[in-house]
This record gives sequence, structure tokens and C-alpha cells, in this order.
Amino acid sequence: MKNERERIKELNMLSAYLDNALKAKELKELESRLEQDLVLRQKLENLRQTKVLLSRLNRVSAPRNYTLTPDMVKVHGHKTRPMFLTLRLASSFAAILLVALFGVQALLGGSILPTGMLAEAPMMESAREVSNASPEPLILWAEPGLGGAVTDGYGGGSAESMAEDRVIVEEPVQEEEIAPEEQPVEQPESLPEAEQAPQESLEAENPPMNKDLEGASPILGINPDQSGEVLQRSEPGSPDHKTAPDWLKVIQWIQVGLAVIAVGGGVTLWILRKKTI
Amino acid sequence: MDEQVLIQDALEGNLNAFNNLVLHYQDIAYNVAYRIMGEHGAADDAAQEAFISAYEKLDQYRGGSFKAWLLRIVTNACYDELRRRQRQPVTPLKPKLDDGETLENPYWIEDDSPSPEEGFEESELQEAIQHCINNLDKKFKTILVLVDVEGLDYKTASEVVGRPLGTIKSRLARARERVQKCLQGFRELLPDLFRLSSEEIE
Repeated sequence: MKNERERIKELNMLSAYLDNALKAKELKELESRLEQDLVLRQKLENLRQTKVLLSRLNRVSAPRNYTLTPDMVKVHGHKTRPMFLTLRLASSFAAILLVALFGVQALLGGSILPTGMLAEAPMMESAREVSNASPEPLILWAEPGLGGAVTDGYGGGSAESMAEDRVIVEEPVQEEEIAPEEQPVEQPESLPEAEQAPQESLEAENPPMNKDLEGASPILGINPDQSGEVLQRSEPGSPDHKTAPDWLKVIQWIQVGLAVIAVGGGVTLWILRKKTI
Repeated sequence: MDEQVLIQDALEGNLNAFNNLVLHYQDIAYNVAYRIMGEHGAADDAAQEAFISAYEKLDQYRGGSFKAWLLRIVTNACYDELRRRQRQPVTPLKPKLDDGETLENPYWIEDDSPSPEEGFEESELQEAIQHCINNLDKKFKTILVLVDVEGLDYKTASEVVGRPLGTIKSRLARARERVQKCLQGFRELLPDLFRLSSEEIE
């Protein structure tokens, strides 16, 4: 007994034979089988009769005319066509504007980065500088013999020792200003050269802070009385803080809106297209 | 009738041009819809929807056989109508005879049969065939209607349903086999020749 697969294959061949849709090789093969196989011939005959019966079905004429009137087209037409057109136009226009805005932004020197990232950039830079400079002043403060911790044992330090510290901090600056080529005459023995060099560079980068320190008692190189000011300088509203200009923010918001229209319109069009043929 | 000119005119908003196309194709569209739906009311709705839809989507016609493109819209309209009727079943109104019996198919009266008796037998056979078509799954039914009832070739049928030729061949063969088995239940209605060969099968 033939399995189902062979039976269907045979059925397909018989059906295609009735429509003259067999290839030459298949046709030859089937005709030779039909000559020998009576059952196969009977199956073919039954299929042929079914096909004839189906073709005898009356052709039913349309009971009325299906011609369209302007009203029918208006009612149905406005449902879909303008929506397609509007969506297509809106998403295309939004995409073009978006690209143009990116171009304008790039030409005017604005960054494509969002505002938040722009504001963070200087902070990250300064953080890198601080980490490069390394907190050498802290090591100096804790060094015995330089004042500081040895005086009272609580990590603080007397006014004298602090003043001494200030002198030590300021000394390299004076050396640098007076005779940069000369070797320093008095160097603290415990201060390695490798540690001193970054200290000098740090002082050179922050000269105003050294000025503020004069006549005060600095902690870690910062005058406690003026530490509030230092913090205020880093607030976003201050003049030296790098923030994105207002027009850049506006452009970025417009870009977000345009991107939403372009992508949303495209996706909606794609879904609508899938529903149609 | 220059079909392409009419299509171009219709695309430019000429409704009369499109209506010429409607008049040319409305019989085949209705016939296909009726054979798929198995009911005149549903076929009427599907055909009308199909022509409106065709007008709206005319800008999506990309050349080739307009008949195949239109019949594809017709078959899709039929599927939509079938789905809609499955959700909200509709019982067609049937006219009643004087004695109160329901007339199953009032359309047989329109046939040009030589005599009422022959016409009735022919109508019964037509109903039996339509009944067997109705029992088919829609994917088999559509192919059978397009090829065996409407006489389309495999290629055009393939364009209508959007399936490869191999699928068309396979579905058609299985549809024919199922209709053949179904018709065994109406053996007394079949012409003598068919009845004889049916008995030979068994």
C-alpha cells in the first residue's frame, strides 16, 4: 500500500495531467504507467469527471451594476487615501528637516551630544586633571616634621604649623618665578622629586587659589572661609561653567520631535500597507 | 476597450473610466465572489466592496494582468466578508412558496432550462456542487473556483492568490479530490455517466 506522500504525488500528477501542466519527462512517465495500471486510469477518469462537473456550474451574472458614484468614492476615499498621503508627507518632511538640522548644528559648532552630556564634559575633564595631579598636598600635610599632624595628635595642626605648611607650598612657586633653572637650595628631604613636580604643576594651574590662601589657614590648600565660593563657581549658572546654549537646547528638542514624527509615521505607514494588498 | 488607457484615466480621477472597467469585470467578479461565499447577498456585498477597494488602491496597481489584480481584491473582500459573517452570523432570507415551504434556491427560476423538471434536477446538481465547494477550506476553494469554475490558467491563478505554481497544482489536486468524494453523497443527482464511474470506484 502506498504511503500518503506517494498518493498525494500521484494525485498531483493526475490533476496536472488534466490541465496539460506536466513536464515532458513527467508526462512520459505517467502515460506509460496509465497504459499498465487500470486503477490509475480509473482515478484519472474520476478526476476528469469532477473537473467537467465543476465547469458545468452556471456562470452567475452580476444582479446589478457595481459602478461607483462620486458619493461612494468620496465617502470611502477620504477614509484612507488622504491619511496615507498625509502620513507619507509628514514623515518624509520630518526626516529631511531632521537631517538639515543636524547639518546646521554641525556647521554652527554645536555638538550632537545631548545637553546633559555637554554639561558633564567639563566636569569629566577636571576630574581627569585632578586624578593626574594626584593628591600630593595631602601627603605633605601628613609628613612629620613639616608641622600638621605631629602637633596635637588629632590630625589638625596648630596655626604655626599651618603657616609653615603654607610656606612650604608656596616655596616652589617663588623658585619658579625667580630662577627656574637654579636648583632648589632647601628641599625637604622627605619630599621626593616625583611628588614635588606634580605639586608645582598644580600650583601653576591654580594661581588664584594661592593668592586667596595668603593670610589664612588653608586646609588641603583651600581656605576654609572661601571654600563656599569655590563650590559656587562650579554651579551651572556661573559664567565660567560650560553649558549648552539655549538655542542648542531648542534645536535638540525639535530634533527629538522630528525623529518621533519620522519614525512614527514610517511605522504607521508600514502597518497600514501590510493591511492592504 | 483599451484597458491601460482606462486605468490611466481612472488614476487621474476619471470615475467614468473606472466604471467602464467595472462594467467589463463585474460578472466575473460577482461569479467568483458567489462561488467562494456560496450566497448571493454576501457575494453582492463582497463584489461592491471589492470595486470600491480597487478604486481606492488603483495607485498600487503595478502593471501586469489587471484581471488577476482585481480578482485578488475580490477574493480578499470575500475573506473579509467571511470573517465578518463568522463573527456575526447572518441568516439569509428565503422566499416561501404558497404552501409555506421554503424555496431553497430562488435563482433556479432564472435558468433557461427546457422544462421545470429538468431545471429542478439541474438546479439540485448545481446546489450539490456548490455545497461541496462550500465545504472546502478557503485556500482550496479559491483555487478550485479560479481554475475549474472560471477557467483561469495556473499562472493567473498563482498571481491572484500570490502563491507559487507548485502550491497551485497541489491545492487544486486536493480540492478536486475532496469535491469528488463529497459528490459521492449526491450520486442520484449525478448524470448517468458520472454515476457509473462513481460506482466503479467502489
